[in-house]
Amino acid sequence: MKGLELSTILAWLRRKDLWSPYFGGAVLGLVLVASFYISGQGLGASGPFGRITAMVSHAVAPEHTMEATYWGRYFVEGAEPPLLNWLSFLGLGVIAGGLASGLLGGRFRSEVLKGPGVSTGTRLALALVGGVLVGFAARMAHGCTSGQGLSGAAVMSVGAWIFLLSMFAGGYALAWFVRKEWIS
Amino acid sequence: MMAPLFKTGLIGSPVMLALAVVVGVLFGFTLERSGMGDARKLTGVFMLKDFAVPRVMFVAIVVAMFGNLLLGATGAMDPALLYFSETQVVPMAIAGMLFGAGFVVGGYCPGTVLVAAANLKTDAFVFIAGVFGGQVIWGELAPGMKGFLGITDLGRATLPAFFHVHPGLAALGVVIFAFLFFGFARFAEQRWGEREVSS
Repeated sequence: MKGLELSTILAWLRRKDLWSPYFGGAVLGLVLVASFYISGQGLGASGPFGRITAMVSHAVAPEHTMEATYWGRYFVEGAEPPLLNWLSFLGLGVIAGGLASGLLGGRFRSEVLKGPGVSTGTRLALALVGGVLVGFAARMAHGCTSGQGLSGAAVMSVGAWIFLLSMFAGGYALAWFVRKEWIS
Repeated sequence: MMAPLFKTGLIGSPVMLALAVVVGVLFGFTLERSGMGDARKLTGVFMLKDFAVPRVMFVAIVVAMFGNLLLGATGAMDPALLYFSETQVVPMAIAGMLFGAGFVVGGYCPGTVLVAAANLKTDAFVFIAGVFGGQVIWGELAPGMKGFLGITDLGRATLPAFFHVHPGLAALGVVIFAFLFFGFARFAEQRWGEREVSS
């Protein structure tokens, strides 16, 4: 195994160029199978956002949260602690793995990612608006690009494919209006 | 049937949670290394410039789909124990369109924004604040939308069951769809994509 020494692997991990999307997709597919094999659940990312929102809501206004919001279900008698689950711990790993890759690849730096034709203020305002839409829609769809778009689609869920195709439709419907945010 | 390991009881909760972190690290690393921590690359698909997002997604879907089918066919994993959400046709179509709109306006989705924030992208932190805002709005409005959210409910619906075909045939359909999309992406990039300027 001369060719596969630790230094070789480290050098490969420290390369600045990105993976081909086909290679990255194949690796991601194997990670997704591992996720199903271990937990019976796929990959997801929006779950912990909801659980954290629920906990804050419950801490600030417990009675209102129990009686008048979607989040009451996480605090009824016998409910599991909101963050002791597959998706929440997966999210911690995603942050660590993304950080590791960015550090090794030289992309860890404070900046605002945007096209050349838009001011920083406009970009940040649009990031906020987009985040609100995504946060709302992810709960309405029982998942996001990972939970429905990848995991649900891989187990051939009808709803996941509806979500995935509608997502591209929604993005293309607005693309022309926000093109200056991304391209010159 | 040994798997899913957690659902068959072969591993307990502490081991499952530890493995979740490991799988998450691989997930996050793969996302970042494929360029999915950059809002400009992510929205490239909507600008018809860079189709990395659907390429990564459709390859991953096909690989995982056949991986699951193989594990099921060999008896290593019980497909009936795999979780996926129920289908409500109309609410999920509307949610998908809202989500896509948020994606192209904000530049991220919930997974990719974690990767971008981990690498100190300011727009990612602002997007995350927005996601929490959207979730708060959802938490307040959802109880009043119960009737609407329950319409066109198909339950635990899968493509093979819905179209009354063998799972292998449905999988083949997914593969054909993916390849048609890769063909379109190639065409679009050649026509509208970034080109080297030859002076």
